Amino acid sequence: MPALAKYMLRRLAQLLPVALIIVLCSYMLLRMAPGDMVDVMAGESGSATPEYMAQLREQFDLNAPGYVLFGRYLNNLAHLDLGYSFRNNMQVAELIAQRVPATLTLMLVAVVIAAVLGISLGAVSARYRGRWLDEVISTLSTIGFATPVFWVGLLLIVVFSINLRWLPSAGMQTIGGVDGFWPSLLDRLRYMALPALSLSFFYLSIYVRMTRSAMLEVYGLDYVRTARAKGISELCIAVRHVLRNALLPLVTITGLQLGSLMGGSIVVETVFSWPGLGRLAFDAVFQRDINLLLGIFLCSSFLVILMNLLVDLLYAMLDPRIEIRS
Amino acid sequence: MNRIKSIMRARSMLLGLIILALICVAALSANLIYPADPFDIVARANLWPGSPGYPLGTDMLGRDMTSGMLHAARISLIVGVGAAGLSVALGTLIGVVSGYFGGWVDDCLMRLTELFQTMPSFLFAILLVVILQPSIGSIVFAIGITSWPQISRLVRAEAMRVRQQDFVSAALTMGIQHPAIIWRHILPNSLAPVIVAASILIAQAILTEASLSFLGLGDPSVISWGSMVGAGRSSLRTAWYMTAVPGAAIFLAVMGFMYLGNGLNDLLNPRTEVR
Amino acid sequence: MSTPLLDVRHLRVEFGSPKAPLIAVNDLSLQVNAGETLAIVGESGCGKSVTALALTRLLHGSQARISGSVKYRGEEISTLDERQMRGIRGRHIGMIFQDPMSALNPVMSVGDQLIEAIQAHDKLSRVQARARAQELLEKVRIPEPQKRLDDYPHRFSGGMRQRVVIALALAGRPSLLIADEPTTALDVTIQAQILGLLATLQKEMGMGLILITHDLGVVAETADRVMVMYAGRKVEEQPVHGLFAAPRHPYTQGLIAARPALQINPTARRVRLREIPGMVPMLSQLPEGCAFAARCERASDACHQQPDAVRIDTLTSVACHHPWQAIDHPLLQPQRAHA
Repeated sequence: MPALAKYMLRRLAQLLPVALIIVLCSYMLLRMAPGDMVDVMAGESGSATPEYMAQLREQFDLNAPGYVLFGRYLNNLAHLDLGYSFRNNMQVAELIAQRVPATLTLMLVAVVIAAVLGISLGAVSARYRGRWLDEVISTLSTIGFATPVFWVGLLLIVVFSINLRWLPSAGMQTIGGVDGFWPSLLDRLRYMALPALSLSFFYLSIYVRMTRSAMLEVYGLDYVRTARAKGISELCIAVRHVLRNALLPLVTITGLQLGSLMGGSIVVETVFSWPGLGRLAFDAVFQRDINLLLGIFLCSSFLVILMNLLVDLLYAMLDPRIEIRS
Repeated sequence: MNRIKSIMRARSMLLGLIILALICVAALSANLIYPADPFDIVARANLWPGSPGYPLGTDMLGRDMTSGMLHAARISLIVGVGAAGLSVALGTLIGVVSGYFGGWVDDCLMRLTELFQTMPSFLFAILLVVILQPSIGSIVFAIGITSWPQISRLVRAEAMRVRQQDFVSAALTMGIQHPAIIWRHILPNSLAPVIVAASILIAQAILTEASLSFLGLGDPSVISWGSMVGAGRSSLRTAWYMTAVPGAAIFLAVMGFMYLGNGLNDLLNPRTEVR
Repeated sequence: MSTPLLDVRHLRVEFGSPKAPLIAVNDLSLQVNAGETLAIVGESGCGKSVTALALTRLLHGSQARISGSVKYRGEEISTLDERQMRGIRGRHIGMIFQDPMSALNPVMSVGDQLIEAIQAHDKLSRVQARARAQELLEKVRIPEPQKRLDDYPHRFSGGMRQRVVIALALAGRPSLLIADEPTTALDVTIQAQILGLLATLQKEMGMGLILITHDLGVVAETADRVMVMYAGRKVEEQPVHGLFAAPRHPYTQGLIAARPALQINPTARRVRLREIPGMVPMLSQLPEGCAFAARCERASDACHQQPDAVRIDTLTSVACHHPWQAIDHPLLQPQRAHA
């Protein structure tokens, strides 16, 4: 599919400046931060004379003009060097790489839960517009929208972990692991349940609203009337004609929400001690480890951009008209 | 059918206004009823809600939860309104310039908008607050600067629509300057959707502030609902009310602004629910 | 005479609240026979399209109240439930809509949309249905039908899309076709092709056709009988030649007079088009009595009463207190108008 490839390349070219500006933002934040690398090192060692610090600055050439420093920063980034986290005694890139899979898993599961549940509820709501079922679903979605993510998480812990003792409230798996493939999968799913649910809660209500309004819009379009005139069943019309077209804007919404999903996962990971990027970010905030925070910011921005590309690809596959737009 | 709908609309608006009025009263009366610092330790720790003299109980250090809740209402309102105000100002400016002038200006500004919409803005806000040191000002700034894209998209669309209308061309041929046209024609026409969006933005800003405070990035010199939830977390097993009560307050405040926004939307844009 | 294919009596369609209803279609009766084309003519907003949608109960989403009797081959279909009605749509009554650009689902291939329509009424395998779909495309004269089956609607031009829409309507082999302004959205050259195609198909398959249009040129070319609607009511009904030769209702007469005729002789003095003064009344502000009275030069006090439809012969009827008679007809006696 060469047209599709061309389309993806064009999208990639569009995203490149976005990535560059993000790098610039992060560099500016680094400059804005009180103290530099040497201050941090001096702070870590506990005793450093001003002369020694000046010598260190000379040694790392930190007095160079801004553009040289920025160039060096870019060069480091190109080599995947995100700096060193003195608090963790580890390369920032290495620290982040360890944590990315956990966050991605959590986000993916949450999006799937939110999309599946949200689209079905939204479709039902649109189908029974104005009736009590629609009212109930709409009210629930408003509630989901207004509930703080961390609060949902904490309440779920109170109910399911503390009172009912059904599900664990912290971590990713039983410490030491469980033997056997199925038991270990079940174990992970049990640990996944509460964090994924709390993260999906907010997005669930977004999907419900968007599906409902998109479907109502499509229901009013001419080709739905054409489909009715064929004499096919309402279920066929709802699924094949209305939902399929209503899904397209939902795909776009998913792409736009990825950034905020990443933000939500920071909070959720903090609540459930989920060993992902978010939990790492929380620790970095706590230790005021700016290098690490910036690394996480950069890395998650790029992740979001990459995922947006995937979403675009999905969109291009779902919408046959995309070929003429490129 | 229409009667029921208009009653429902009025009910949503009324419900929102009642909730918000209650919160405003709470915020205003905080200093009258509880003039003392809400951080003061006043009683035995871990008193459950309903204890005599402490209707919402005390926290694990023996601070009065009722006093804290009332004082925190002020912070949520200030941050919510402040941040929403900042992002409305930013978003309107960027949107109007982008939609009115079009061309490469529009291209650049839309890229910027896209950037702020795709990047993990909560992380960006965290970074800003960490670097600028947590304070009400820095929190308002961080939330405001990350949440303007919705507004700018909205205003841009309106500006583009109004730009096409004949009275704008007429004004241009009469030699009226761009800023005057923007001020007199474009802005008044895009006001209605912005008012609705601003109400929803306040709700979102309150949520974001709560999340920041929950993560320990609140202004350390004032009490806020988010930081109360964060502090109560450690006592979740024994005293869940410490997280439940302030969390419920956040929920209520957000619901209030959402209902207000929905009500305003029905009032100002009656076209949207015609079908 | 045998039972008409479609026999509609006293059709009434209301919108809005029951206390102050907007009556879009009022006391409308019509008959269509197999192989016959009935044109419904009128200005936009006169209730033509609402009539078409009401016949197959496709007025979805709006809270329309439909009353009256609709008999298809002598059987009452207005009382059928939604499931039974689905068996009628497409299988017995096919519909063609105005705008081919929006009448097709953009994310389904043309073949899939045809197959769906075919399988809705015939228990055919996918392969068989696909073969039928190809035949249908051939039937509506789409070149290289086999290749075009897997194309999506955006790959087709407006005229080609309307052919696909016609193919969709034919998929269930209906005996009655309702075409709602099928050529309005198309270029003039394409309009003629589509009308020709419709006429050929109608003859081939012996279908009854209800053609809804505001274009008297289209009427003259295709219709056997014409029904003129004004503000939701039938004001006149005639065989096509009679209607153009001797319109009875002042409104019909105005419509025909307002129609630009082809100037054969370029040296002839240009005839000024006569327009009908005033506007079509809004549904919410229909006057008592004849809705056309306010615009009618022949109106009198009697017109405050709703005129009954007067049957002039078996095929002609008019609802007017002061219809044009054949003797004093202005179109029949042009010399008198000059004198």
